[in-house]
Amino acid sequence: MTAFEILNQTETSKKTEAASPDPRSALPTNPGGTFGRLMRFALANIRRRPERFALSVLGIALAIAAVTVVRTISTSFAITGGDSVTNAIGSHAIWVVPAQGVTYSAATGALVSNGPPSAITLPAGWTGTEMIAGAWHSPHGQVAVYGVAGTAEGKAVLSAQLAQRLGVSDGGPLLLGSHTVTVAVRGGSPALTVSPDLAQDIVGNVGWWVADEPAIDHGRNDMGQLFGTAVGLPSTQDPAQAPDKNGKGLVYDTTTGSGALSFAQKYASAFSGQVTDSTLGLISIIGLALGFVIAVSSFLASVQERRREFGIMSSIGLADEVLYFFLVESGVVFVAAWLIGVLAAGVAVWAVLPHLATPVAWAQASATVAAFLPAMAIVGAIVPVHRLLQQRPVALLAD
Amino acid sequence: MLKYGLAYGLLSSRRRARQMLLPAITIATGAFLVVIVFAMSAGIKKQATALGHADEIGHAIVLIAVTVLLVGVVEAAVATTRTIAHRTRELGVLGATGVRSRPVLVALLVEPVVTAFFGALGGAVLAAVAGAVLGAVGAAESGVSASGTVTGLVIAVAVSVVAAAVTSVVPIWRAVHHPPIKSLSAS
Amino acid sequence: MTVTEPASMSVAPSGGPVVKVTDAWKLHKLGDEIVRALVNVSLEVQPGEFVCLMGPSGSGKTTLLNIIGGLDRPTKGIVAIAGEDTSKITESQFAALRHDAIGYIFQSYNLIPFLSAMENVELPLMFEPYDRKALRKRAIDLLNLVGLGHRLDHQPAKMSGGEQQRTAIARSLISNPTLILADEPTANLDHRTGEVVVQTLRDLCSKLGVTVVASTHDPAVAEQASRVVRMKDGQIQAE
Repeated sequence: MTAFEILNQTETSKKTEAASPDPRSALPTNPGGTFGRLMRFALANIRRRPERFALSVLGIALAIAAVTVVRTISTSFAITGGDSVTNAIGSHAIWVVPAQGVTYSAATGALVSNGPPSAITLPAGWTGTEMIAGAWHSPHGQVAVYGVAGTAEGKAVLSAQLAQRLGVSDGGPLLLGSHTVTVAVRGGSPALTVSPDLAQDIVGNVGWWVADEPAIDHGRNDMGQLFGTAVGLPSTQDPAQAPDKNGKGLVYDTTTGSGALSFAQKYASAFSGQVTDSTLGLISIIGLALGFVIAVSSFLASVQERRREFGIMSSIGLADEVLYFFLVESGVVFVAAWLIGVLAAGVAVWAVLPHLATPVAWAQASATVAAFLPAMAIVGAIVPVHRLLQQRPVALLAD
Repeated sequence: MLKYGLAYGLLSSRRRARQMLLPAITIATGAFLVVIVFAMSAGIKKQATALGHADEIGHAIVLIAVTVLLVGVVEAAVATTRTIAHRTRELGVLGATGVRSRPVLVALLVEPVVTAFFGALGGAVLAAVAGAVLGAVGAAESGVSASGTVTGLVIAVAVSVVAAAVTSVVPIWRAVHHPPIKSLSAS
Repeated sequence: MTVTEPASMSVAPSGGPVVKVTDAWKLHKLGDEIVRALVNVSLEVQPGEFVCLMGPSGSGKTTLLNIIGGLDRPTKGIVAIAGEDTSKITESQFAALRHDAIGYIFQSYNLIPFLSAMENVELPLMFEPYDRKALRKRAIDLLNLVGLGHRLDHQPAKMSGGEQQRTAIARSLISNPTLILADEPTANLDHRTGEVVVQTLRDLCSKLGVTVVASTHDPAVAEQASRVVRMKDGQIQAE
């Protein structure tokens, strides 16, 4: 028999004598996947050097916060802008604004007109109406008042939010200037809707025209031009274009023309202004780049600090594990940074711009930023580790 | 004696330029953002007034500028703390040879200040150039203001330098007073 | 104040022992255990001696060296340098003592990586208001003394281990110290290079009258020493 067999024999006989386990037998495996183990390892590492983790997370979180603030603001603008148009003119095809133009008034949260509705006559077959749209100085601050034909006399339609602001209830009275009207709580418009006569009485003769095409002209893509020629006014499909101050008004064609964006969306971008939009977009891109640079630099530093550790792992055959481990750690850092960053951004925007910012905008912004995270986390982890793994364990263990 | 500390600090900054690169880049990116915000803010404000929501936009710009500045500050702090950790051994040698702590403090403060200054300046100048190009090409409409750019540049550089100096003092002081025997055996 | 020439190095003024350690203990906690690094150690080193502390790892030789040089403090006992009791002096006072009277040489050289050999040698005095040219000349002289005249502008990365250690030796001499403490000076060097380094240390003693205390487990060092002190488990073994 070979020495090994003799040894084996002795071992097995020893085993039957005593109940002690053979150290060479296979180890029982733990349930729970590789990811769980990597995660526990990563968390243990974080507990070891919490300051390093905190600093990396803080740096990236701030960059994420900056980007989220910017994106929330630009998304808020877009939503507000789009909504304000829809609130003002509903789904009418044609919108005729006066020469003095219209303004979004932040205090009222709605579009109001700066001049009287243009003096036009509806062409044959077209339906439409004048609307009064102005600002009323109520005892509770400025309120937009719309005069829409078809609203019952003596009645005022307002949203629940506005009712609360004015301190009135459904069916109750509301003092409108020198008139008392009955409140009907309906819809979500920021403006108070009454009959055109009453509106004119309160805010003056400011407003605009809305119109719809006759049935036979449905689907035409030169609606605005058609209407404009008929009433003698210039027309456009671009809400960024403002009416000529010395003219008589401008016809907006709100049916989709060139491009896939609806009129409301186009207005939204015109609302905040081209410059603001592109600047905010530029800032958010650079902010994301900044977050990435910060992440990579902190991972590079962390890798450098733990060279020996990784050298040891590599020398006992765990080279791949080093990469997985780093990916998991990178993921944890980025998720933590995202959570802190978007929350901080939300608080900041809510504190500074309560009127303009909406939770929806913030949620959208946070989601957009989150979309970038996986790529950033993966690349951020791979770049430093790649360089590390190219070195021989001997080099890592030295020093 | 402090001037010798300063001389050592400048010498070490020159020789350690490569290690200063990454922190400088991080600070530069923050400065770039700040200058862009300030350069474009005048144009944004003008358009906002025309559209009727100047106040809101004004607040928004301030918020963004402050957030971005904060990023720059924190990054300066993080970069400095990391660098100090790397120079522990050097501090151990200085301590073991009995060099006094105040000149060493001055010497080690030079690098973060220099890094922050050149990093912020580089980023700010790059942003100014980018802004000018955008303005010339017409991509930014009335968006790029020269005075805004200059304001942004001054603020970015000043904030970065002050942040780097303030956040370095305590860690450097602590590292200098760490027992040399421990600093020498650190990696 | 001008820098004097290395040749006219001063010896301990009183003429008594340069180092006198009396009943020193060093205990420290490692987890739950108490480690007795030094156990009732007494040692006297006369001027001009080359004393070698020999012993295996953990024998306490490095600890003893550290408490002599003030990088560490004894738990109990007295350490006197050139007759002055150092147990009551503050850290900064001990630093000043190290600066003026003690030169240190480490196992891992501990040179500043971004400074040239010359600048590394000047380092301890770089922050003092000495005449720059005189300081530079002194550094060059010291480097010539240890045989590194051709490496003046080289950074540590461009020098071999032995050359780095000799640069460290030159550095330890820049302020005319009374005492040189060398902690395992040859541990990172191959045999032949180690011999050169030890020879240099020996010459410091014989030609310059500097007192050297070295800790080591390298017998080549012990061979050159004028006295060998054997240590084991924190205690000095009887001769």
